[in-house]
Amino acid sequence: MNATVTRGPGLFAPIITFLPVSYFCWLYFAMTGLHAIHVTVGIFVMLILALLAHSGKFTTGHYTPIEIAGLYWHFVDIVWIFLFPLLYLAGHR
Amino acid sequence: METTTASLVRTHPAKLYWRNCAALMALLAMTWSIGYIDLGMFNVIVALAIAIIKALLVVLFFMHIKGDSRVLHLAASIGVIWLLVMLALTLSDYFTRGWVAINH
Repeated sequence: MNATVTRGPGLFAPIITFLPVSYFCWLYFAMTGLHAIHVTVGIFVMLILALLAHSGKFTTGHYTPIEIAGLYWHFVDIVWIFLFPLLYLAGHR
Repeated sequence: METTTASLVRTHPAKLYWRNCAALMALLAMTWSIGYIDLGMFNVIVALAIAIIKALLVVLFFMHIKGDSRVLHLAASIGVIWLLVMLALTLSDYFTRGWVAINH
């Protein structure tokens, strides 16, 4: 977290130069923050599915909502698989 | 949609998911341990290579791509190809900065 910010012509330059943080911190909180939103949405989706399943809304012929929610959840999963090494391990040394 | 999927119902035993979960955890342990070894620039390459294997396990088993139709394989691949196009466009800028001197 020691890369200092210099004023540049980038799209986010006004935001980056306004905030007294490094590029790494800016990216870190943008990436983990967006991921946190995805995870929160996923938790609510699964809570709703659990309630629907509990009231017997799904059968062997009707399980598409579960399949689609599973696809969404594992998309979020894959994002973290790549974010973890990039944010926590790449610049370790 | 339900009627078409109902005719193609495949069973997914819980054992398959637990086995995949164990494989992912083992790969996580591997990523984490390799983080302590200094391989220079290869640390990132190895970490991302393991991440690609993990992503493939998730896509093939958790997302039920394995054993599904070829059309679905194609649709899933297009997503990855599109991501690679976007990354290539960004990296073509990043890796070629300084090749040409720009005088403002």
